[in-house]
Amino acid sequence: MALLIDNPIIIKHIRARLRPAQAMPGAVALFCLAATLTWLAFASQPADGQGGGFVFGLLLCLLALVLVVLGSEQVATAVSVARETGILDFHRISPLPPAEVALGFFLGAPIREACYAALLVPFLAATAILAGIPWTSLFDLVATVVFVALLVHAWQLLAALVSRRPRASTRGILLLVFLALGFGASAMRDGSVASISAPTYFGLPLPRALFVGLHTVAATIFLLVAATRQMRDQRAALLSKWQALACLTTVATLAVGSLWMAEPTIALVALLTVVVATGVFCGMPVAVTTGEYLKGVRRARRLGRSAAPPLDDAAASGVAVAGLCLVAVAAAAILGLRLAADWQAWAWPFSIGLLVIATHGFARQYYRLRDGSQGDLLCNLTLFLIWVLPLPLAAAWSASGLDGWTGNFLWEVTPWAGMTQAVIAKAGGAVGGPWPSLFVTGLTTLVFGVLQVRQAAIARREAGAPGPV
Amino acid sequence: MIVIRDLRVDYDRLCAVQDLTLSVAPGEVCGLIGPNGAGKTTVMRAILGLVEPTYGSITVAGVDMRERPRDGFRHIGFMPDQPPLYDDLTCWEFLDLFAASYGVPSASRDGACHAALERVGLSAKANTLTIELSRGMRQRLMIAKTLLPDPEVIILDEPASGIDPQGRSDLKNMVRELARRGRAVLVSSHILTELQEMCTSVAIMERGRMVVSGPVGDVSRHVMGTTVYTARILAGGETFLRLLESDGRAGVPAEEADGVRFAYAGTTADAADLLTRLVQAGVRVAAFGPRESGLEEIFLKVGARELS
Repeated sequence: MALLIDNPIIIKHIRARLRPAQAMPGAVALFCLAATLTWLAFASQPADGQGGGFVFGLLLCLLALVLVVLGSEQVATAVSVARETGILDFHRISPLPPAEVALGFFLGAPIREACYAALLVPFLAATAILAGIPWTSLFDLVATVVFVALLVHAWQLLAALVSRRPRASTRGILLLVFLALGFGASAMRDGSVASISAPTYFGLPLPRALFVGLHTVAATIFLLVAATRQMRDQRAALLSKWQALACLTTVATLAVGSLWMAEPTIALVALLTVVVATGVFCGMPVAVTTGEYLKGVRRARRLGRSAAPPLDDAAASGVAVAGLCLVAVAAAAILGLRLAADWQAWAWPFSIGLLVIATHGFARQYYRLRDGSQGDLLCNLTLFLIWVLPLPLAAAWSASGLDGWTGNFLWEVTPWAGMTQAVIAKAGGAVGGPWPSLFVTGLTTLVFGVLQVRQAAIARREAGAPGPV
Repeated sequence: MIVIRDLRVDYDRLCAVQDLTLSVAPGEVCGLIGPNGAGKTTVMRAILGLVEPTYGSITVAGVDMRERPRDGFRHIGFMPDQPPLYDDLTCWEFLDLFAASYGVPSASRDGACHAALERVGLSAKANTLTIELSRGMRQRLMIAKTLLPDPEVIILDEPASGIDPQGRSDLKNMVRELARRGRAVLVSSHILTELQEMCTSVAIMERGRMVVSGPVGDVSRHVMGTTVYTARILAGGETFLRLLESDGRAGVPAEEADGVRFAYAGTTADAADLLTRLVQAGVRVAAFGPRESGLEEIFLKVGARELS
């Protein structure tokens, strides 16, 4: 709370964005629109019992449009302008803690949109009464919109801080929002929100809003942690190695808790997807560039060491990637032990998943040590060539009627095919999966693991530090 | 007040600053000069915590900037060449924002902001949006913002660019006043004549290294070697030349618009003796004294030597 009370950045935005001359026209327009829609709902009530529900859906769309789309646009714009003009540097060199600056932009920039959203809530409540929507559903839906808005604001804040073209960072938001809005509106019409069974967390039933909040707030916090690091130092990695491990642990815990009571196959496939995707994402910030690594080596030399400690920001990511794999194994083991008697049968797809995390982590580290930040392009290209390209090639090969063995082989060398086939095999009662997939993913892990160790040794030599080759 | 020891800053594989040591004492105005790419801005950004040094220590007002940067920022006022302002705030609101950021208590914030506006002559513009200010006024508002928390160290990056002669004069007076009040000022500028008028010490950088630093006079003597004297002779020119020739410490004299210039390797006392002999020999001397080497002259000589 100390970061919010008397936060100068929030006060700045309140002053700049809530001047009556600028804020009133929008508020009046929105009030009139919402009032008209509510009157429509009231007028159509005797003739059509669903009128209130439809208008409620429309108002919910409007709420999401204002809060999520326009609000996040404001966050991105405020940070972009501050970055472009250089005033962000003034905040960086002020005694204000970076977290306070980040929160100031996060909560302050969309302050006008938040007021507009608050203006809509009474109309939403009125139409909910007209449509006979329970208060709990109203609360769930409004809370969901607020949680999604906070998540998107945090994402936009981070995107505006790190993007090379900050103002272009709002693309894709509309799609996300309208998917959510479509769900909200249709749920109101057919009453499906009420019919969805209450979610559980480690078997404990939770209100829907709390369940959504638990997941979105966790994601929002990690986005804000990354944004705070950027506020402190523009050149810093998004997350430290400890934070990346904490991020995967949190996501894995949330996934395990949410899937605790689910059907075993669905639960383990979902966990595999979530853990591998997050593990790959967390492998990005922990990989250092040549410059950062050399910096760490030079610092360490002055302290009589050959390189920075393994979990330091300036250290190579080998240990951190191993840690990510360990977290993924732990999550799979815990859920597997809980849900499936034959949980060892899941070892195959999870092994491939772990190797995907490891290959990605080692490959990214190798290319960044070799080519600095430019190495990301080559890394992406390499992973595309070994992980993605074989899929269309296999499809084309099979479609062209050439020999089936090559088409199958091309398909099976990719980890995605490996995991999918292993899961299908498991569902059919078999154990195992395609060997080419496991072999190729294991081989790439080994190759990039060796390459990154070798590249780190080359970098240490470049810095004049002693170290094994 | 500012103490930098063994500073090294790397950008990827490029070493921008190497083993740099510099100190600026209270009451000192230090001019940081060097060609483009010498590392001046990197040094300033490292002091401000905007660039993470590879190693080395930076202490500002006794606070280690790598250990406790937020504490250190309380003591630093920074003014860049392009003053970035929030265009959607009034002058008073802009100052209030930063007063709050620097922890000025809310009870005294209003008074402090009005006093700062008064100091730079912008009282009448307190409720004007900053977007409506002229370039010079924006610069003055930035000065007000910089001095608002009464920092002990002031860092000015090309402060005079884009402001009118009156503004430059005001800036110069302000810097002198700050130094008189015991503030340490580090200033970088390409306008060396202007730096010369306000700096008490100079630090010349070249390719990320400190070439020479110290009080202007010491650096001048160190770089230029012999002292150059100028004499304006009204009568007795031939006697003057003969006496110069007889003094083994004087170099070959050269005619200039304002008199005769000659290098002199002797001490100040030797030069005084020479003047006495000239007067006793009947030479009518209107002016006689050492010519201060300009920063530009020093910089060019250092730069030429380093580049060669």
